[in-house]
Amino acid sequence: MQNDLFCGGARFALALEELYLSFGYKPYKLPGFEEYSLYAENKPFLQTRDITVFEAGGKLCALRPDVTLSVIKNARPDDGVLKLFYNEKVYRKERGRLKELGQTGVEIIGKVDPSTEREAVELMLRTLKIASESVRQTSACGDSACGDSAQADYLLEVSHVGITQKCLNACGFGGKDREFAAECIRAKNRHDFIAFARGAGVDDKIISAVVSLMSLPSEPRKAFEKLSDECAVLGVESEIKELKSLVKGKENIAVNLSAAGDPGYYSGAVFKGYIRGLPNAVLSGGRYDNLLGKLAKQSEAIGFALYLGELERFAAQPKFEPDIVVTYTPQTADEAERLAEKFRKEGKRTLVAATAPRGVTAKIIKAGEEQC
Amino acid sequence: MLRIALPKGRLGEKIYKLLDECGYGCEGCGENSRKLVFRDEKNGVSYFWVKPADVPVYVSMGAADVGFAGKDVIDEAGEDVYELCDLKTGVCKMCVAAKKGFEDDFSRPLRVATKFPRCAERHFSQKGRQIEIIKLHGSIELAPVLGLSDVIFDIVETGTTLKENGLEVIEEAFPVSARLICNKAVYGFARGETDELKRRLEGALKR
Repeated sequence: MQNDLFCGGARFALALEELYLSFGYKPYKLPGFEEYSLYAENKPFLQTRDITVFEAGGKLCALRPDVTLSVIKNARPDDGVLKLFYNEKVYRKERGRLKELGQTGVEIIGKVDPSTEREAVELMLRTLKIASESVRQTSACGDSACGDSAQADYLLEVSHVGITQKCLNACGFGGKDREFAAECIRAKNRHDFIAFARGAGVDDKIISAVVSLMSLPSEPRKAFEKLSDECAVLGVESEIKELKSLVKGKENIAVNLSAAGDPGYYSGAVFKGYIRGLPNAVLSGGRYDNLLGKLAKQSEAIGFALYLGELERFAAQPKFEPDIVVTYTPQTADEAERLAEKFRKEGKRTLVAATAPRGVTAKIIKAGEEQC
Repeated sequence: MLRIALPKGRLGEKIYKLLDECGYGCEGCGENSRKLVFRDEKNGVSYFWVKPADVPVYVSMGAADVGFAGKDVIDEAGEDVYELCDLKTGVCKMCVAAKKGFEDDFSRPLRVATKFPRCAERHFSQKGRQIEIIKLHGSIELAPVLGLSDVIFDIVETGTTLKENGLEVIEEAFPVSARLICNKAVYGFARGETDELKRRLEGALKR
């Protein structure tokens, strides 16, 4: 696929749209703003404190920092299941600056059974594949350790909120202690976790089990073997069974329990997607029944978002050069128009200008004269 | 090729020596030079010498695969990276210090002079104490002496500088030492290389 992320991502968006339509998903359009209260009450889910607010008709509104909340707010799944996709702009502050970023994603709301979850995982993998093809030309990777072309171009990391929560429960951590220990798990910070847990009098067996979960082998089969060894100590059998069923027969998947999201919103499997050569996760998703609960919706849901801003930042820039530049004088302007139309009909990108732009590499033709 | 960001200065030099012992040596890297980038094809490493506070940014933004930084720098930067190993070198403590005999006045916010505003905010908010941050870039110990702040929030190694300026530690916030940090995407795609680096470092630390 030709890289077109910089010219609006039209082909890229079309490929994703075709993918989601082929699975029977419906497109979902949203306005660019929402009532501020929707975001103010769910800032931890958004993972941002910076929301751009404005007043409109006596209401406090905000530029949309995320799409999922708006979709859930308006969703009416009735008895069945609602399968939707979107391609929208979101407005977030990154490193102190407000940015308009593209976000494409899928939301499944209603009855989410194991088969539906597996379908969501399949869509995540296919989305990452399409995205990785679009940025394959990137030079961001350089000679990094992850630049080995023999490796997979994309990777979906899977985790489970239930496992991390049971680890923290087994340690008996609450309040600030729980926050600190959760942060250690997220950062794979074994040394500080061990010192902290020992200081808190946590049983050595539990400490050892939690620490081993922080550095699971990346290959799912080996990771599940190791996880199974810790089942008895942590009581995570049902979560392991759920994860096993989700990733069965799928490739480019790694089990990484440090990828777990906020338990206030996520209720099951959680996902992070990476593309080789890009430094940050480009896809994020998970089972978020708890978020629906917070919005007073008794239903189930799973979804994911692809952050186009991350892709755009590192994609190779295509050149937008005309094939031919036709220059003219006041006397030859009509001739220039005629010539340009002729070239365009031949499929050549033709720019008409009184003088050729500086640095242009296209062929320059002076109207009314011989070709240069 | 594993791209490693090293902090300029004594800590970085000590860490490079350890890496050299682990088989990650690179010709010219440990020598005094103004050159900032070194590369060794045989050992599969390239090194960048960067300002210590910038190491987490280089790693999280993917300019380096892994890096070495003090816990103080990592927490202050707040970058989304993995923290894979404690090198137990560059050991000190992040502390709250004040003039001898200082008594907190809870009727007003505590004025805190620091190079680490993010860490200070976090520490005092966990305690529920309202503070006013005074961001300084050096000679922090001077602030309470001149009445610029009530306390300082800074790293303390031996306590000699505090003592010489009539200050004392009134609270220890968290221990600080050098850590190996890793980009999250790199960890996923180059697990073998990052695990091997960690394994060799841990082996060298045990010796």
